[in-house]
Amino acid sequence: MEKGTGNKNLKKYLYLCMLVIIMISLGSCDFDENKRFIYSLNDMIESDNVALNVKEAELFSDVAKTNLKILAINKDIMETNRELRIILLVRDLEESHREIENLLNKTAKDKLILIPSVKNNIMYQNMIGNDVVFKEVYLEKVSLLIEEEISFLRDLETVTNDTDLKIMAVKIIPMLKSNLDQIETLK
Amino acid sequence: MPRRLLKHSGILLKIIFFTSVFIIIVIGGFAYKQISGLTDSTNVLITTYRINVELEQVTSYLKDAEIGHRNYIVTKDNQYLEPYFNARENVNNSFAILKELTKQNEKQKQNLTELNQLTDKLLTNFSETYDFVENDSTKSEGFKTVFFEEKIIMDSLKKKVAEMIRLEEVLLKERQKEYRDNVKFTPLFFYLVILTTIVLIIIAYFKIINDFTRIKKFNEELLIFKESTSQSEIISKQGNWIWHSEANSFTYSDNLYRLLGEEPQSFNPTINNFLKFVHPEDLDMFKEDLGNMMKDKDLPFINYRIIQKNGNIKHFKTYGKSFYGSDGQKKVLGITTDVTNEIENLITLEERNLELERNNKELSEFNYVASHDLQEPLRKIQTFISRLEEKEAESFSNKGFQYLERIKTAADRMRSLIDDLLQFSRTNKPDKAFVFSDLNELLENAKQDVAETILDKKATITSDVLPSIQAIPFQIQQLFLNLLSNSLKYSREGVSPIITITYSKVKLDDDQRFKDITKIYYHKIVFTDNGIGFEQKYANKIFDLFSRLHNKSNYSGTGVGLAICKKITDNHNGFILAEGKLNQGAVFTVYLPAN
Repeated sequence: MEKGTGNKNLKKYLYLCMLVIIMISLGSCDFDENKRFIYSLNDMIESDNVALNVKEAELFSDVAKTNLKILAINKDIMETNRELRIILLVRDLEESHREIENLLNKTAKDKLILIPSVKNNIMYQNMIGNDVVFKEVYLEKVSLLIEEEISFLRDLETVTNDTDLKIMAVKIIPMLKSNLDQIETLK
Repeated sequence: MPRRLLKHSGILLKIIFFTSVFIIIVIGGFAYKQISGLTDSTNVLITTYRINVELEQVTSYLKDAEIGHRNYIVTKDNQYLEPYFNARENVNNSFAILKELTKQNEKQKQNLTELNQLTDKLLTNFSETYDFVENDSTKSEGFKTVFFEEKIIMDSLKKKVAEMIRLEEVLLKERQKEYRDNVKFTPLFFYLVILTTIVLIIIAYFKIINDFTRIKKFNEELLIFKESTSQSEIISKQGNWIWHSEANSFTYSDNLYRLLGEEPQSFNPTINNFLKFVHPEDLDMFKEDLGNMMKDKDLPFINYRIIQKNGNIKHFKTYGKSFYGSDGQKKVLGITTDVTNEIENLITLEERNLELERNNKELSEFNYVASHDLQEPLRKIQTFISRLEEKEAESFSNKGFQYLERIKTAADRMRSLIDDLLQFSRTNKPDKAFVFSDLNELLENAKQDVAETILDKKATITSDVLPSIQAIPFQIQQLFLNLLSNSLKYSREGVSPIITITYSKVKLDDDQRFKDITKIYYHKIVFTDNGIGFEQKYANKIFDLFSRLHNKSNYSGTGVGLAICKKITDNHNGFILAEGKLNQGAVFTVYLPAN
């Protein structure tokens, strides 16, 4: 064996030992998921996650409020309008929006979001104005509210990372569109 | 020795370095862990605080809503419902934060769900009472029931909030305890580790200082050695070079450039640049030797010539030996010597030797021819002296007869002189054939030659048994004859000569008298007589040609005999020594090389 080869091998072994030591040392540091959560907690409180939660709750609440407004208008128009086609439309709409409300309530319960509903609604009573007795005004107002609700749902679908909320939006939007089409036929 | 010391020192320093690095990494890891723990603890505290704050906020929003709701019941004024309308949104915002804060804690998540349900129930309860107020049925049993439920829900809600706060505090205490346990031994550990590191650093510091001093000393010695080598190279007309076999590059010493007649480092030390100096007649041979060196990694002694820029031709002798450098690479260290002076001296010496040889030969031939040619006229002189004595002796007067006697004596002496010279010149002739000879036989022949004198003088000769050796027989016989003749001639008046010849084989390497001997063992033959002897101061002089210690009227002779003896022993690479004591005798010792 050549004289220098021994020294070269010794150096290789020393560097290998050093590498192993560094790996063991770094490996011994605790990086588990829970603690990492705690490290970034302060930032998180002010961060996108909380903002997103707030935004989701706002949009969710807006959807619920709009839905509640539509139900309130329907209730009022049922009491004032006797036109058969309108009555049939209102019944269909009420049925559809009650279904939507159920979906919203169920999701809200899971996601710990407080929303106004028919059972606790004191905000949207006597929504109908004098002008709403006219069919055209009613149809126009309901159309606008449905479009508004669709818009809130689309925003929610875009903003949220929550799969349940996305699924809920995907389920409700076609129902609303269908309602909108139904209204369009009466205009 | 220094290299070995430095090597060991290097290993020690590496060990200290790696240990220190290891300790620092451990300290770093440990510190990282401790600081992380501290951060954890702080964050847990903040988390608990934030959860508590948000829970208190939720309670506060709901209390506001409750107060507003009651005011509305009393006044039926819708403006008191403002806190109730805002409560849902505010509570949602707090829940958005609480969801993030408690998402790792299943128990708190469950509590939060329950809190959410209670809140929803409370808000629903508010709306139920609203209907009673609108219908002026606040005195009814239904209203009282709903209103009482509101109180129960609110109490449950406060209890849930209190439970959640308590749970957070318990969790906080547990985490604090865990942290305290972790950091309990930290100061001691840190202290010990830092202490160890400091000790290692101190050891390394002193080791480095020690090595640095030693390296400085070695560098000084190396500098002196380098200067001394440089001077030695100049004085001895030597230059050295190194061939780095793996890189196939050369390094020349300054003096190698000087030997080539150039300034030090005046050109790149490449093989092509060196070849430019090599004499065209030696170039092929030099290239072949160089090729062999690159193949065998060794260079035997080679001789070649170079031509300097000024046209001077120099004779170089080069030798190379391979070795491994400290980098583990094989190299060849070569020494090139300018042997121009030696070569020129050798040529001159050879020329002079040839001239001397030629002169010697001519002189020997002259001696031989002269001696031989002189015999003829001398013989005629002696013949005519004899005729004068026989036929004209009567007519001579006494005076004329005396003159004739003198002429006769002179002629006899001249004959002896010519015979001895002839004999001496024969010993110088180059045709000397060494044959295996029995010295006893040669001594016997010599004794026969002087038999008449032995009888006349009643001499006694005793001798040991002599060996057989490689010798020139007639010369050894002549040597013995001359020594015997010498002892017989210089015998004391009235004393019968006694000649003793002894023999022994001796070792001469420890004998101070013989410094230039070529062999260790010699045949020692000693001739001892009881003659007139001589003074010791003449011991060397008697071997000179024509040297005589006595008047020729007392003892006849030419002074050539012992010179011939000396010449014969020289021809045999031997020695002859003489010792004498006046009127007691002489001792002649002959040394002839054994084997």
